[in-house]
Amino acid sequence: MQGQAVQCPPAQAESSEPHLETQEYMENAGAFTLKDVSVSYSGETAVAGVSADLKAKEVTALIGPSGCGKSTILRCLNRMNDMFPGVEVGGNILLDGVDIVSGGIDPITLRMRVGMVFQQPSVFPLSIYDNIAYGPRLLGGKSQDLDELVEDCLRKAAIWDEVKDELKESALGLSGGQQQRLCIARALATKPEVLLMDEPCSALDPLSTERIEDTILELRGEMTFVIVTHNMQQAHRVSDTTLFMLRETMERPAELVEYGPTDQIFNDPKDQRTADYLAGAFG
Amino acid sequence: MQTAKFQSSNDAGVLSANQGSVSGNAVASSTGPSGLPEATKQLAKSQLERVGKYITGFCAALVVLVVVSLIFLVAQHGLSTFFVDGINPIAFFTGDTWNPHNTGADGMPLVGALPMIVGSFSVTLLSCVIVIPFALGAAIFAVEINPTLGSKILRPALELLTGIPSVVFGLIGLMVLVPWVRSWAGGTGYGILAGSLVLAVMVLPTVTSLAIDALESVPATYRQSSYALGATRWQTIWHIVLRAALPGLLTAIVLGMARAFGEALAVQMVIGNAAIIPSSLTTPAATLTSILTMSMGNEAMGTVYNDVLWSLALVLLVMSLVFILIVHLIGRKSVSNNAQ
Repeated sequence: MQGQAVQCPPAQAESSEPHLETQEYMENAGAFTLKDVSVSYSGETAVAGVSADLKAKEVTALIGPSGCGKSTILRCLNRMNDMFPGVEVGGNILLDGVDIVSGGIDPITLRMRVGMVFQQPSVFPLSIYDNIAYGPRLLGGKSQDLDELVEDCLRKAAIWDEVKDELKESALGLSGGQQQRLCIARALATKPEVLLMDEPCSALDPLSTERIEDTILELRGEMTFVIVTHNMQQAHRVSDTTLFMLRETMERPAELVEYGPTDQIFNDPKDQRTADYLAGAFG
Repeated sequence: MQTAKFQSSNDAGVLSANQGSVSGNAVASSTGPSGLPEATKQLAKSQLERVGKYITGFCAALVVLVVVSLIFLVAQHGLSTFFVDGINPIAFFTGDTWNPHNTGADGMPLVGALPMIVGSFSVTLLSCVIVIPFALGAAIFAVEINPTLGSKILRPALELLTGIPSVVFGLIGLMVLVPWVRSWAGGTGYGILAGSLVLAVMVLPTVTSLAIDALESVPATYRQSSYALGATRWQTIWHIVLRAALPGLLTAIVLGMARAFGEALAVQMVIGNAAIIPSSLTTPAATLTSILTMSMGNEAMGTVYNDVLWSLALVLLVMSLVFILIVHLIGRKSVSNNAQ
């Protein structure tokens, strides 16, 4: 949030509001279009030339070896890169037709619409209830509506039955898998159209991983998912579309090698590098 | 104790300690082991281990002994006011007249310590009220708003401020603050307000540094998660960072209070040292510490006056123990919260 990265004049943010009301928006709520997106850290370009369509209400997986810019691209989608000084984003990223890079929407509104779940379960040191209610309360949510919302979100994240009797207890008392599902529930509470997940299962055991994947599959159709994962089986299991990214040498920025329907990427990749990566030749 | 054990297995440390204890044989013992057969070497090593253990154990025991005997000494003298001299503790804690050389209507010396107790608590609390907003604001700036300026300018300034001797603060208070208070409040300018201001400046670096540490220890993931939910920076700081750092911030404040409560010299220079219950913040008052430093050298050991001064010292000691206890309770509570 250093504010140097991407400037956003508030006047322009307002112009995006009427767009929200249109029928077209309601139909494709949560579709991203990336046009020649590049990201540089302190002047050094890390990712360049990423163009792709992330379809609404589907699951898109970003795969590739470490350092290929998957998480960097993911953080562009809710402008979390603003938090890091010296990060510059180029190109266009359209969320339902509105460019979020050039400041068509202010980051606060954007992050309410585009939720995020991080690699490490990062519950707040508050009660389970207050964790979920945190986002809605920022908007001034009423307490009686909140009870319903909290239950709804916890149910969607498949953790309601485990925590319904201890909503007032500290969320830090939950296991890692439960905490991560609580983080998903917390992200759902602002009713986002898109949920970004940055390796959500890499710190979890296989059973917890399975439950999170089940949640994703259940909520697909309600919202768009973009998931960064190291686990190719996971990408195969949960995603409709897969983007394969690669940074071949440190001299050149990372690029999007290819993207397409997950089945096609995994069974019939067009690029030899994709085939090699999936076969375990590197990365 | 862990470090003590570790050091005892460190050959160099043991050798040098050995040289210190048997200074005459130092040369022989440092050259000896290299020329000896293997078995003797082993023996020498195990002896070194044992000697090291004793030396470090002795040091640890000495520290404990000093603390215990210090508490015992202060308690012995401080309590003899009540058990030997027959002063009623109620008269001591609630009496508002401090004049131990004279006796009151009941024939007992006038040793009401309430003015000093009130004075000590007043300057402590007031200095805290003054210091908390500044310390918290500076810490938030240094951690959340501009870490670069925070580490390049604020941190060094705080370290410098911590190292300034208290007499310098007292002197500045005497030459600047007291005339300033006098200029608008009238009177002498000495009093609780001048004392609190001096203490606030003295305590500020301690509280700010500890508050910075507390804020820095809040995991970055908390902030990221909060931003990712659409929170602004201020919402994040207010609802998440300050809340998560609360135990550390309370510890910072309590340690600041402990320092303010125990500070003697700087306060004594600006408070006026009149052992009366202050009627306002700008009239002369006294603290436990200021009366102690003023009077201790002038009273013969064993007199009632001397014993009562020890009692003041006992009150100070007990209060500092209470402050430390509070810090431990805060620490334990936050640990149990995190371990749940």
